[in-house]
Amino acid sequence: MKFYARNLARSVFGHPKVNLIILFDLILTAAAVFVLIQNFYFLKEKHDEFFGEDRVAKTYELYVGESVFPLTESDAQSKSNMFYLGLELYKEINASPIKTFSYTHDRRGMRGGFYDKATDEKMIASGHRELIDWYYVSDYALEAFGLKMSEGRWFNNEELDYPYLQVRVPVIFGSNFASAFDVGDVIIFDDDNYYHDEAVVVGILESSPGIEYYGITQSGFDDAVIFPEIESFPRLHARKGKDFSGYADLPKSIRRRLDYVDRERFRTLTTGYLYCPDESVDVQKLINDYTSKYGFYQITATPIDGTSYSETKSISERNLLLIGVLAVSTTVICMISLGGVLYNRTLDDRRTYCIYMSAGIPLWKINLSLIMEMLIWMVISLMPVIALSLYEFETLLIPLWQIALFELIVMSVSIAPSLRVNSKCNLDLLIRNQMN
Amino acid sequence: MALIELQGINKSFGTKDKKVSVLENLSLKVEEGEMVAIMGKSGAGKTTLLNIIAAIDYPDSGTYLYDGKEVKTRNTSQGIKFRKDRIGLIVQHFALINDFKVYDNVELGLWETNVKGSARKKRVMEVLESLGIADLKDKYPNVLSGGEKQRVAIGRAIANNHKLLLADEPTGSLDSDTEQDILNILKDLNSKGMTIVMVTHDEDVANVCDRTIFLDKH
Ligand SMILES: Nc1ncnc2c1ncn2[C@@H]1O[C@H](COP(=O)(O)OP(=O)(O)OP(=O)(O)O)[C@@H](O)[C@H]1O
Ligand SMILES: [Mg+2]
Repeated sequence: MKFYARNLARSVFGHPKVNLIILFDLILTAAAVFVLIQNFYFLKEKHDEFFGEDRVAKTYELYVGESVFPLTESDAQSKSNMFYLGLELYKEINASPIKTFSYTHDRRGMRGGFYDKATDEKMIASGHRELIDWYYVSDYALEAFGLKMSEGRWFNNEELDYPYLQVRVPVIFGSNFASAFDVGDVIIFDDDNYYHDEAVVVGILESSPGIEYYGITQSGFDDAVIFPEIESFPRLHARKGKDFSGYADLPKSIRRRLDYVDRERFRTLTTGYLYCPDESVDVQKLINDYTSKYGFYQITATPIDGTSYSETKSISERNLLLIGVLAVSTTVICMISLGGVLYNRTLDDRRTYCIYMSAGIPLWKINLSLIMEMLIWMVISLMPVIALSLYEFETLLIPLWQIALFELIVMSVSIAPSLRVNSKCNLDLLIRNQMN
Repeated sequence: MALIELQGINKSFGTKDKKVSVLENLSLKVEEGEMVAIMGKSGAGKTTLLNIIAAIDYPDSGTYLYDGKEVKTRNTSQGIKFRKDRIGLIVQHFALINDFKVYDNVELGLWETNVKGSARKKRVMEVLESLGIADLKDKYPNVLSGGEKQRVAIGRAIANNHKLLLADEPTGSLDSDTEQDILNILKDLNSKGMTIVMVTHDEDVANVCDRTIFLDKH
């Protein structure tokens, strides 16, 4: 026992620089393996949780998992890198056969609260005395809601992208307004003191059957007033007496709102909807293909109007491969470095080992002591990973024994040259002073 | 009965084509309690002979009897076992562990023995005192003089009170005054009953011994 205690102390404290490298190598290995296994578990679990069943559908609800995942509401608020990444993702997904969309719905009293007397009279004339369905909609709502125009047109891209920059905000009315409004009518929002804003009717919808999903259960869009995504109406910049003809003229408060559409698009990914007319498309797989490029998988599409069908067997294969290659190469580099450092350290220690042997201490004890020391370093090297896991996730994300097992393999390989050189330790060398 | 008896020992080095014979048909006896010097030219095989006695190296042929029993040791771990309770080793370049204090360097010789606890401490102090280095016990080897280092090395070699002490040029790297000190220590150990076999180049050192064995170079 005395031998182990003294020799371990000598070895642990006797080569500070070398031991630091050993520890560093092991920590790196533990971290690499941790990332590998953690991702594997994470991906597998998410996969099983969300994509277990077979489904067929056209419309889906999008959902983003817990707060530890990317794409959160606060990203939209703070406009983090994740926000721009999300917008990129939005573009990519919508360039594919699947389209995302979202809307804001409000049932407004007071005939929608139009301020202009002429408009209000038209409202009453078209039979709307009290409540009006008031919508702000995103891209692709036309297709997603299955709407058709009877007059005029749907919003164009310019209007959907920059609703705040339009001199008059485009508005589309449901079929029940057709008797009172025509395409080209101008609706005036006027407060004697504060603002003046205008909207222009660009289209009238055909009557659509009641839609049972998206929370719209009654008359569909027949009693709807539809605007592009704007934060509020009348638009805040619509100060009385001002004529807004270009971006340069916009006051600061408006410029701040220019990214409102972007923020809404970002939110669409996290809480919006998805529309895919082709039922044979494996929607989830398609989304995963896009998101996996950015290294996360948490956007899930839950069918609203039926069952969807998913072939997604392993969403994570490609990423897992990448992580695996990285982890394995890190580990191999660490293994080589560890083996080399340990080998050199053992060469330096051979003189000491020979002295031990001359005092009757057998070689196996010397080797066992080396193995014990490596186990000590291993335990220490696991600490940062444990600490990180506890700090980040408040739990040990993966069973510790799996990292430990991996480290044991790394250790066994890298300790082998040292054990071999020890086995050739010969007192003859000590006697002839050929050590060091 | 002789403590060491070598009969017709042959030892050569090198490959089959380039064989260098070092020991040829060597026979010798060392009685218990003797102090024997081994002399010979460089390359004569003195260290080789010592290695064979210590079971660090093995003869190609011939018989080696220790205390009347044949020594058939053929590998390092068998060698360690064989030496453990029989032979203490001293080398020219004072093999000390620099990370250990003088006390621990001597105590090291007892780690693998049944001498434990206070008996071990007593024994170490006894050895340190007999070598006149008790006041150095808390020092590290790198601050010691050559003579002091060699005493510590002797201390470790004799701590377990082996019957036989083997020394390869124990005074080889010391000045003549210090050499005399070490010789006195060895002589003293011998007078207390320890058998000593040591290699030396020095006539004066050999003269201190009871007997000198000369090896011829082949
Ligand atoms: N492991 C070995 N392999 C090959 N040759 C060896 C080996 N060990 C010793 N020799 C050779 O054997 C011969 C005897 O060596 P040895 O060390 O026993 O001589 P020595 O008498 O102790 O010499 P010195 O006085 O220089 O220490 C030398 O020629 C040496 O080169
Ligand atoms: Mg020699």
